[in-house]
Amino acid sequence: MSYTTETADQVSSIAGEKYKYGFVTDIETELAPMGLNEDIIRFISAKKDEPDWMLQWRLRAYERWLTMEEPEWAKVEYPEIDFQDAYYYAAPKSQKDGPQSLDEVDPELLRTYEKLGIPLHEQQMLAGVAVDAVFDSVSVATTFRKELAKAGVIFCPISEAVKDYPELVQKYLGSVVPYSDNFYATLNSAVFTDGSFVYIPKGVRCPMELSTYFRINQANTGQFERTLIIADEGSYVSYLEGCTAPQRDENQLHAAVVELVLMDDAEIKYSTVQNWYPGDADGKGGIYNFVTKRAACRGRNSKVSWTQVETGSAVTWKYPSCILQGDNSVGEFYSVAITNNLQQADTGTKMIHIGENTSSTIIAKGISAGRSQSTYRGLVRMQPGAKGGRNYTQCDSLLIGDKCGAHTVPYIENRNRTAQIEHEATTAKISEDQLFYCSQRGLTDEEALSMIVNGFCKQVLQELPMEFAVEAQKLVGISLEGSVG
Amino acid sequence: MTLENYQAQLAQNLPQTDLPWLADLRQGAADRFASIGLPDRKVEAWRYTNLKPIQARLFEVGPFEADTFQADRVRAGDTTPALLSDSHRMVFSDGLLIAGAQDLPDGVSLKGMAQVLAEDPEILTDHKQGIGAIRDLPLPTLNRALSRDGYVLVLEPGVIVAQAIEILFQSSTGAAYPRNLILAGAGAQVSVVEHYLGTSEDDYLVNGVTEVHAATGAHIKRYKIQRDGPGASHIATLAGQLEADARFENFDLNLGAKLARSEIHMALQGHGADASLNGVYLLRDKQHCDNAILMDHVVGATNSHQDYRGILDDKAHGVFQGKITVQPDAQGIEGHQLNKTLLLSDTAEIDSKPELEIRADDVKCSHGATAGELDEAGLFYLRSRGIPEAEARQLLMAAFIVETLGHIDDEAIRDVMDGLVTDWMAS
Repeated sequence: MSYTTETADQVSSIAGEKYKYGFVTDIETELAPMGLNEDIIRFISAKKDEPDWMLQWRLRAYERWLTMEEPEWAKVEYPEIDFQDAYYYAAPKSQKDGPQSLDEVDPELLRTYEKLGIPLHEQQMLAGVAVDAVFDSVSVATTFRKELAKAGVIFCPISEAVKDYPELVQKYLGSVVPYSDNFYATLNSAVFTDGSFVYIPKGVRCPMELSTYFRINQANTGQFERTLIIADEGSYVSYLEGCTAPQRDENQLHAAVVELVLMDDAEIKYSTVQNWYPGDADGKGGIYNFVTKRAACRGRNSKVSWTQVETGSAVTWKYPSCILQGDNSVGEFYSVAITNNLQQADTGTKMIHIGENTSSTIIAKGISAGRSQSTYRGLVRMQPGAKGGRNYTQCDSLLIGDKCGAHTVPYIENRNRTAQIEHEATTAKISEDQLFYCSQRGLTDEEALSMIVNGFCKQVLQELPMEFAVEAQKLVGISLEGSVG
Repeated sequence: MTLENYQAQLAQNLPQTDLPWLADLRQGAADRFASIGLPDRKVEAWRYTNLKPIQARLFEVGPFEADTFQADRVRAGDTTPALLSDSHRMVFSDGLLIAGAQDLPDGVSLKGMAQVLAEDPEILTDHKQGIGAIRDLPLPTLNRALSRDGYVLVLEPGVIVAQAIEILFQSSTGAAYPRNLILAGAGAQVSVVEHYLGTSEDDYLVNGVTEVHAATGAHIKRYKIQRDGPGASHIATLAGQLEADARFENFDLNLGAKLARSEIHMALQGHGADASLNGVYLLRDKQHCDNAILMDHVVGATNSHQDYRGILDDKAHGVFQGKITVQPDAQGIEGHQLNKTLLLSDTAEIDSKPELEIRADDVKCSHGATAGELDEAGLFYLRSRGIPEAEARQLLMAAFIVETLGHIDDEAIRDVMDGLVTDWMAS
């Protein structure tokens, strides 16, 4: 069975038993009133049937949020967001409201699916078409869950974890990204409605790659996602988020928070492919993606690896970070950010070296086309105790067309003599020679571009889990359509 | 003293208060500074440098005497030996000219700012407002309000000045606000050394501005040697505008002062313009040195190059903030930037922010930054060849710096810089 049909089966299987899962419960028709105030937060908390400590935490965050100002330092421009002109709690759309067949779906979207090689049934699910019951093979999901339970891995919606594993959630929620962290993270802390919770017990190697792929597609993801992953001593997990196919979404503002906690010898590999709606060629519509992601390497010899392929969203504001506290801990950041048309991306990472012999690697590739703006913004800090710390940073920008921009804003702070930091950045365009060589070999301009850009991104794409990597390569080409010739 | 009594007290200390345009500019600047004040660390450009230590000295500007620039009066105060054996020399003491340059070739005018304002203010006609990029920044604004003197160097088109011009700014107390201007006509060539020297351990302040206009094909080399006193604060802002095919070479050697900030705004605004900005900072004790550079490629076919290196010992704090901007449609750009720092102690700190802002596609831009300690393997190699550790360390440090010194075109000046660097390492 190929990867894609297998995925299709998983998607349909989960979709078929959504009630059992509990993240689409009996709330389907409900909608909180527009705006944001304490009552809305109480409403959300009540809807989720949350314990009082959770509500109090949300309220503290809300109170804090009221005193905060929207950050303006990023190189992105967008109209002011009216936070009162939004719904903070909307039940996921019922499938009855969605298109009833692919004929009703935007043909542009279908063309993209085809190029990505997504089979018909999966296309239906991604486009939000009611899923055919024939595909309801419950067995795959059940097998999955059995296998996870056998290993002792907890993988469930965060709202469920709040009720079922309150001691774990209370201990770790907000311990990496405190509720007072930044404007969007604080907003998220007050109003988050969905997300994943993962706990990998001591010494367990998670038997499969965990993915939010299917769940998101089924439930029209929460606008304010909250993810918490705890990797206990000596455990390993690979977590995949997002999907290569463009996703339908009604929410314009997304403010997610992801927290990773790593104990001694633990390892988390976190991969993201973000392809939210970028808006049309004139920059109308499109998602604002303001995300706070941070990993705390608390234990010795722990390792965290962020890999991201960012091709979607009108505005991206995202800096997956690593706090390297445990001695010998390792942080990695591999990123490809592609912007086209009027997209803007301000993304990068922070590597805070605290423990001895901590090391970090940053490979960031930015590709700007059309009239888009792409910025790498990153911080590498060696604290006085980071004896023997090591960082290597490489950020390269590729410009396609003369109307786009590529910017690099690294902060490098070294307070330890024995720590070594190396940073390199380059900006260049695709050379006429490269293109000429390819066309001489019979490739069209677009094929050539896709190939050259894929070569440029290879260092990052190869870090993705294999199936993802294959799709991501196609995505790179598709994202840049119309930018040459 | 504060700016509130600016007219009543401070303005009285300035030369040529009878020039209406100048009085207006000064008052405007005083008003502006009164409203904006000194930047704090929340301002991105001042993220790593705390200006609080200079607050107390800001308004301690001494009186101006109208005959200060009379050359014969002043030679007596000039006792510091020249750095260059063969140069046109000018000396300022605590912000005022005490020794004028002599025997200048034809087509070259080098005078004190106060003298120009008194005798020849029309030289400044096109440059009254100063360069826009720095006009509204807090420290140049304050310089505008309180500057008493500085040098004005004017080169007629095609003039090539064979001997370097050496300008000494010696300071011992209070606050000095030198305001300097270099106007180079088409094809003119000159080397200028600004030498800042402290003659006391006092916590005096120097807040200088140098503006450079290079016409088509002009070639200006400007070298700054900063050896202010151990208690001093040294703030310098350099703004330059380069026309087509003009070349500007700058070298900043930072050795002195407790708090130093060297800010450069360079605009490459004619095709073929080329700027090479380099520097070395050698710091120990609790010295703080911040180099901030904004390289603006306004038009296409312009090149820039930056190479800054430093060695930090004890509790020294080094900062490098370099930004290359390529404006939309400025095609055919090459811009490179490098910052390397050696840390010799466990308590030294380097903060580096090499930034690129590119809005055109036919560009080749790069930046690199490294920070770390002396190469252990290199040290081991030298010691295994019988070289004592101290000497081996010094050799490695010298090797680290020598490449940057190599960017200095003028051999005599390079030798002077090399000597100062060697002295620092040996001490």
